[in-house]
Amino acid sequence: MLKGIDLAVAEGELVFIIGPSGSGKSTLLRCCNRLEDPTSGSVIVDGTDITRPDVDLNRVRQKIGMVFQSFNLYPHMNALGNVTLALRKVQGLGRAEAEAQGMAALTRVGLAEKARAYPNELSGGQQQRVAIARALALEPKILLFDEPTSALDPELVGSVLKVMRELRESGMTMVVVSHEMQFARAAADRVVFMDGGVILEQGRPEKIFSRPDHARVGEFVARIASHQ
Amino acid sequence: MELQRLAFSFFNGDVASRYWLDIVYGMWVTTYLAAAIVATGLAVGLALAMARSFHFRPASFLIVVFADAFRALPPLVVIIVLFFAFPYVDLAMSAFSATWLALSLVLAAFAEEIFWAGILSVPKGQTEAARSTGMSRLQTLVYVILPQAVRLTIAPLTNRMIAITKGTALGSVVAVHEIIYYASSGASEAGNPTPLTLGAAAYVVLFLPVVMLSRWIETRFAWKR
Repeated sequence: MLKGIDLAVAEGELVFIIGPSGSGKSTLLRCCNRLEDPTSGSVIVDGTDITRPDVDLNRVRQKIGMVFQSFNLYPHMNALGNVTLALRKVQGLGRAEAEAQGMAALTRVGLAEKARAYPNELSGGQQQRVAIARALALEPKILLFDEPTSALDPELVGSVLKVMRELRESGMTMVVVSHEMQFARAAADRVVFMDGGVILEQGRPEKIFSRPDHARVGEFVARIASHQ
Repeated sequence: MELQRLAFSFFNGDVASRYWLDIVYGMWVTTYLAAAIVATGLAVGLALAMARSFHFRPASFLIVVFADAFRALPPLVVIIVLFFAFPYVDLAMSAFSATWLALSLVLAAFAEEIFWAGILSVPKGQTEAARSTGMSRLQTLVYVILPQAVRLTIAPLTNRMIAITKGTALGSVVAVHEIIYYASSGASEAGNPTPLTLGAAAYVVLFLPVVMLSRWIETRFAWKR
């Protein structure tokens, strides 16, 4: 799937990954928290090589938040329950402390008043923001977004992007697989174009979107733009 | 129609008054035998399904062999083997124990398959989300997967529980003093099948509430996605 990727993300940087389906974007992202195991090479997060066999995966994963295309909220728990589960079971916080921290995370995504709502009572955009809060509550060093707005109705995309923009302004390090080009233009430090398991080109968004070196990138960008 | 003869044979008040106390005692034995089978069978079945979800091949293979074997064997055969054959390998057990163990193993086999199907029905994204927050496999299973899986298993599981606990009647073959034992020995002693009618009534009294309870639990635990 991936054929030799060399990518460094600086602290506080927002990196966008774009490319045709099957290009390995999601696989690359999932290698960053070992939901997918690379066959060779290493992934270093915050100074820890998470591909080493002796690494405490459950410990490092707390520092690597992930947001999924299909939200993956736990349907049997309300929003606050979703956000506090790992705080209580992984970090061992008491209920009161976990709920205080969980409410803070829900407040950051603007959903404090929905704390008691179950996922099926929330819109897609609200569900995705709860999912972001679930990752945020663990105070991660980096957030990985796997097509966070692809499953949303167009009118709900904005609320999720707004939260992502606020995170960016607060200095969160983020890697985002997405084709939201306007958002990438406005917020990304760097856009990485992947094709066939390799990074074909990377650079500032205005460069990649307006004057790419590779014709393949230009074609792809034009095709995506015509759909947005 | 010979309603009078029917009444004399199956609804004979005289015979009923002589045997109803035996049947009530049989109900008690059936109840706690059934309760013991349900507790053991579900616990073992759940433990096996959980063990299987760790995808350790040799363990999964053994679990599948166990589940298939005990789903295929007639429960009566298992009871007879445990009661009549195991003494030869110095594992003698009482009729009650043999029936309890045999039916528990059969229920465990079915329950394992039902729990396993429930676990498989939970979308993979649930596991990925939980693991990405640093939860271990076991924590993910206990707090995220099983609560969702168990809801889906309630209906098939209660059906199976009822079917197998009714199988306690098979214990009469090895002389466990449950309902059918008293009903059939009463019937032959009295030369009149009325005790069997009492036995049938006893099963309805015992199992109808269970069936109704399962219906209630099903609606109670149903939730919208």
